[in-house]
Amino acid sequence: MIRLILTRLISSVGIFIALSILIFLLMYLVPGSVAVIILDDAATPENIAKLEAELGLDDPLPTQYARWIVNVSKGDFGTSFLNGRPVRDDIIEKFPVTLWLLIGALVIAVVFGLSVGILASLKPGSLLDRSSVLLVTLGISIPNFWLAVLLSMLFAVKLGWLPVFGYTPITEDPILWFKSMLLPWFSLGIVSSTLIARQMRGAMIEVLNTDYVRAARASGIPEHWVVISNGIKNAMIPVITVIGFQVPVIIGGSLIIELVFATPGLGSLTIQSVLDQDLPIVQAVLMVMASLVILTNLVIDISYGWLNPKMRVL
Amino acid sequence: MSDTSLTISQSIADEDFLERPSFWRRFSSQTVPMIAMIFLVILILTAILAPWIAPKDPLEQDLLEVFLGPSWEHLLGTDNYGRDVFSRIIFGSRVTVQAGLQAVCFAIILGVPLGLIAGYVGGRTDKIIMWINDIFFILPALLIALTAIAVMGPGLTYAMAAVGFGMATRYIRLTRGVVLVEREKTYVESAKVTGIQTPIILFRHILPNIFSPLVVQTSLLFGIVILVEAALSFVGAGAPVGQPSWGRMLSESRYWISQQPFLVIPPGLAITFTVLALNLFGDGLRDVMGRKITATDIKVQKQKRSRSDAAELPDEINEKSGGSGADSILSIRGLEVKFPSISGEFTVLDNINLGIRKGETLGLIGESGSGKSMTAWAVMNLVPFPGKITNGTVRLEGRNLNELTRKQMRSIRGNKIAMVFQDPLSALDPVMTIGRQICKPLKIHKNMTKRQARERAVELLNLVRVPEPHRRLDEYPHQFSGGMAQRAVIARALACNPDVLIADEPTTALDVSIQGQVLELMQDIQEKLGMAMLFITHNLGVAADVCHRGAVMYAGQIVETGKIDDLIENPKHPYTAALLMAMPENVQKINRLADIKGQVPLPWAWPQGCRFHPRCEYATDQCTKDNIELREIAPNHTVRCVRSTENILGERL
Amino acid sequence: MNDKTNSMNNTLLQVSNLQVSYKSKNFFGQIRYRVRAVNDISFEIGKGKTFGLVGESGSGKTTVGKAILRLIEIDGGAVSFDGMVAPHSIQKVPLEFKRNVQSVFQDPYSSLNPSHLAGDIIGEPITRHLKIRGSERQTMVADLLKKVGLSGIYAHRYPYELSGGQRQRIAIARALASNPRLIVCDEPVSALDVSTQAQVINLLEDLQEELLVSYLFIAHDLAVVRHISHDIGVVNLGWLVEVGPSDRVYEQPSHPYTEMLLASIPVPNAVEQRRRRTLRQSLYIDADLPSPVNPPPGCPFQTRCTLSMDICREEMPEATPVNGGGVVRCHLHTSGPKLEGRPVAVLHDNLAK
Repeated sequence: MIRLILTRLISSVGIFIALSILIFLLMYLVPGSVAVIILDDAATPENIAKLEAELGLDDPLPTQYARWIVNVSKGDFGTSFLNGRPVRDDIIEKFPVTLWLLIGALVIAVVFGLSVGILASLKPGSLLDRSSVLLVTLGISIPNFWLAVLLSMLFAVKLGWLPVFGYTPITEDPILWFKSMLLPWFSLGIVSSTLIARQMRGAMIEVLNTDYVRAARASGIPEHWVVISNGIKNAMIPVITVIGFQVPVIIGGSLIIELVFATPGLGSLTIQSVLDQDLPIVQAVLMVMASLVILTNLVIDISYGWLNPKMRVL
Repeated sequence: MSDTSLTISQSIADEDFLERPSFWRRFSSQTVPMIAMIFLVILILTAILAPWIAPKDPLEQDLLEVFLGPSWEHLLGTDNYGRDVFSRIIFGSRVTVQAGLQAVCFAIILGVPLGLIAGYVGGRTDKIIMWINDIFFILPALLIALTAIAVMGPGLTYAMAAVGFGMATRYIRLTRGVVLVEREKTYVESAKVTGIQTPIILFRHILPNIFSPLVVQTSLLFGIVILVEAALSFVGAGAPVGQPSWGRMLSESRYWISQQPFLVIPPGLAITFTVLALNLFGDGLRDVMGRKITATDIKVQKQKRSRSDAAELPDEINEKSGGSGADSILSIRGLEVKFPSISGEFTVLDNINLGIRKGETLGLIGESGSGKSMTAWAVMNLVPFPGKITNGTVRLEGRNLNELTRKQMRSIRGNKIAMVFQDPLSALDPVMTIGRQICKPLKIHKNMTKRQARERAVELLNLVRVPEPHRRLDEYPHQFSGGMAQRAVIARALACNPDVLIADEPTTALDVSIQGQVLELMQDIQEKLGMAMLFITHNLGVAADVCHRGAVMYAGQIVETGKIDDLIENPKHPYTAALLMAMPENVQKINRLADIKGQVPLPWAWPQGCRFHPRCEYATDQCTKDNIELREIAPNHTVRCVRSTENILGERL
Repeated sequence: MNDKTNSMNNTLLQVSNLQVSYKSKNFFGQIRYRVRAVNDISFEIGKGKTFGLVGESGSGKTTVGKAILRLIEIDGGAVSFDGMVAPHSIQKVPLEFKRNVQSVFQDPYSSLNPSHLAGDIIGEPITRHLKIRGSERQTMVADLLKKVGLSGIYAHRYPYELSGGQRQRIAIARALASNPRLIVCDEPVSALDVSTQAQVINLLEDLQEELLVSYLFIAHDLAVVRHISHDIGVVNLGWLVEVGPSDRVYEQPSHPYTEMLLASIPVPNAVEQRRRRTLRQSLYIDADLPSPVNPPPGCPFQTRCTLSMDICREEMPEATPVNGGGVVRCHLHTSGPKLEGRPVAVLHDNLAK
């Protein structure tokens, strides 16, 4: 087990370094020069050269990367091209909002996904099973931002139960915070939950058909115990990977959902800075999100090993 | 060799082989995927022909007619500039189709060859490709697209190329995975043995087998791409402002919810339907390409019902055939199991009568498809779904098990009747320690505490001669060799001192030297504990070794029963005789093995009359007509053959 | 053995001192560890003859087959076909060798490409080796199908539409398509039912009689191997422990391992079965096989053999000739009781007295 954790840890660090290099290089992929973007109308050749020297763009790339990554590790992502504000301030302000959004959505996705998948698998071909399959297919096809708009039309505009959009910080009023997060959580979590449900259903049906489940039934073990302890435990092994795949999907989706509900998180910040080509912010957001994905994947990999005794002895 | 699953791995039929339905015919017989496909065709045509079929100019503004609801003039109403929503939806399909095609084509062209190479070449190349792949695989597609826009400026072309790049990782993973599986199959080795060149092996042999998962993956990814495109246009980073796009329409409609909420509906539905159609189309393709025909798809010929009701069978016959009703601990009467299919039910077990005494081993002998495992499951009242017991009784010490409640039946399973399976490693739960698996039945049936159960488990492992039982109880099944695992399975079955032990081919998956050990063990244990044993096997040698009496099964029926020595030395049914003569152990080296022509028929293709007659060298006209009864031809020896008294087999052995 | 020229002329395949190991390499191509799968195996197959190779799972018998088919690299020794030594590198094996040496594998479900028609599967070697296409090839495919007992319509079937026995017939037809002189059959009947197994064995025997093709028949079932083979080799953990004419090996085994394998086969004959059981219980230890990754020094059978001596735990015995033909690798023949080529049964008689 320790060896498994170590190898995963090393490979995660490797992926993190590779990604950070790629993110760093974004600055140099821009057609022309960054200086042009920053200077905009004032871009004369002299000004460009002067700014490039100022930004240290003359140095060899490895030197620049080293400088950049050292700064990043201190939390310094540079300053915004547009308003010159330190990027760090924006990130620190907006990251918790996004984190809460992601955690909530993931919880909804996992809880709904697993329970629907398990229930559907117990009686394949039943009404419950068939309607869950239908729901899942529909869920995969609905764009989350449309679902968000529809949900807010129903629960906010029509019924008035929840705020249409906006955000109340948790420190201000926990109940209002919860209300303001409900719609974003659900619009983000539902789509992923259908995918998890589909996988869980398939895995459960397969496991419940194995010899060892038949053997357990033949030993007179009660069905609920068979389902929980043989069924779910074995079915989780492939499904945990699928849950891992949903993390990037949810992170990607949060960008749009935040925009729809005007949630002041990283998503809104990202989209604005993308449209403005404000690269330092884009880089910072990418670093944060990539770290999140790598971290969750690490957790997923380790729990995979924890679930699967064959991996544990490695 | 397990016949519990009824997926057809055998041939569909032989001479009366039906014309294989073409791919198209099989696809078009599915309603939902067909509708999805028609939708997609219409969508593509719409995209191509948009300028000719759209009723209005999508950009033409009419500020006098803003926010109109649906009408004949404007099928889907008008937007905030008075533009015709229906025409805008039609033109919007262009962006969708074009963006989707761009990204997916790019992804396939990049991903599939890389995946092929990684999977087939392996080694260092594979490691490098997959490491790079892992880096991009974890990035959300939308984030990749947004990054491209941040660097290259707004517009769909670069964004879609970036999405395609991100999607390529999925193709690399998929292709590599399939290649890794296919590469290990011996058809690839056969091609290598034949000297077929590597590129030909890759493209002619392996690629066609990747095709079906690839098509399915593509339809799903196409859906994701369309969602990303819509999302980009939704935030204003995608299609240019002038160009109508579903995502942008949806985005703009949000601002006018109070004036005209309907505006939200058409673009959303357009996206949802398109992605839904792609998914359903992909599912349909997968089902058709999956190439699996299952039992329930089979059209059953009307089976003539002329069964003699076993329940009415005089007890003496049962007594003589399968053992007595009186002193049998387990007795099976007229057992019948059926499975449903699209055209009615078919029978897999037909009027089975058996009885086992205390301390006796009854061998159930037959080839795969004869119904011997199904008999075991029927005894346990655990016939695999969707089959069911339609007739007959199973009695344990006179108690009719079919009349028990679920709870009562559960207290029989594993307690009074226990089972041992063919493949020990698949009969043990891979994520649970051996100890837990042995202890659980003890806790349930004997109300033992954890400690008592563990003590008993150690005792049991000692009984089945597993060395170091204390340590091995905490190990997982994969840490056991096949022989040791089978001992553990036997220990689990013996845990509650059952009255009857059902062993379903317990040694078939083991090496011959281990097989000997396990058989001896089972015999020793039976002698020690005195339980009754139902021993299922296809090997007459094994049966001869462990059984006292035997019942030979063919096509869901018992065709001969008797003392095992009688069956082997003096078989009366041509099938029993043929099985013996087909065993190389039994045949002088210079002689040919018995040629039993053809194969065991599948349940829906059982012939009229004697089910063995098409393969029998002694068959006469009489054999093809009526059902044949099991007749007693000598004390304790019954045969289902019309010529059983003629001594047709002579002194062959 | 004494007539060397004669044996040279009749030998089709000669395997001498074959060694194969599986290596696990790290990213930089350095060997992390190696597992010896085949150690110093030598035997030969005569023209039109069948050589049977038996052993338990993990014994390395399949590896021998793959090495002869040149699917895997060999570490040492040589495989020579009809007097010509096949090159060590699998890339350089001449096409003519591949035409002459064909294969039939165990699992008839994975040995045929699911997306090819049976006719194309059989036709591929014809195109590759005989350069025949079109209607001529179709005729040849139909002939081959007839040879293996199937009608011509089977050319238009996909493998998934066939039963196990029919698939195995298709695999045999493919192996025959290039007119080979040797077919390596790796467990060709072990996945089949008893009646189908008999059909396939009979078919292989008939084809040998008709075409004079040689077989290397690899299986775990000694009874099947004995039935079809002229000579038998017994493999234990990568070592060939006994070779000889099949009747001699079957009736008078000179290696305790061979005898144990034989005594393990259940036979439908009560008297014989009792004899075998007593023999095995009195003479062999019920133990698992030693791990092939970390084999103990000396004889691989030492852990299960009650006759083992100190020397058995130290060094691998050399091959010594056996009365009645063949060789055996067992210390009992050279030290201790000094059997000198007599069957192991001699010792049991002594023990009984």
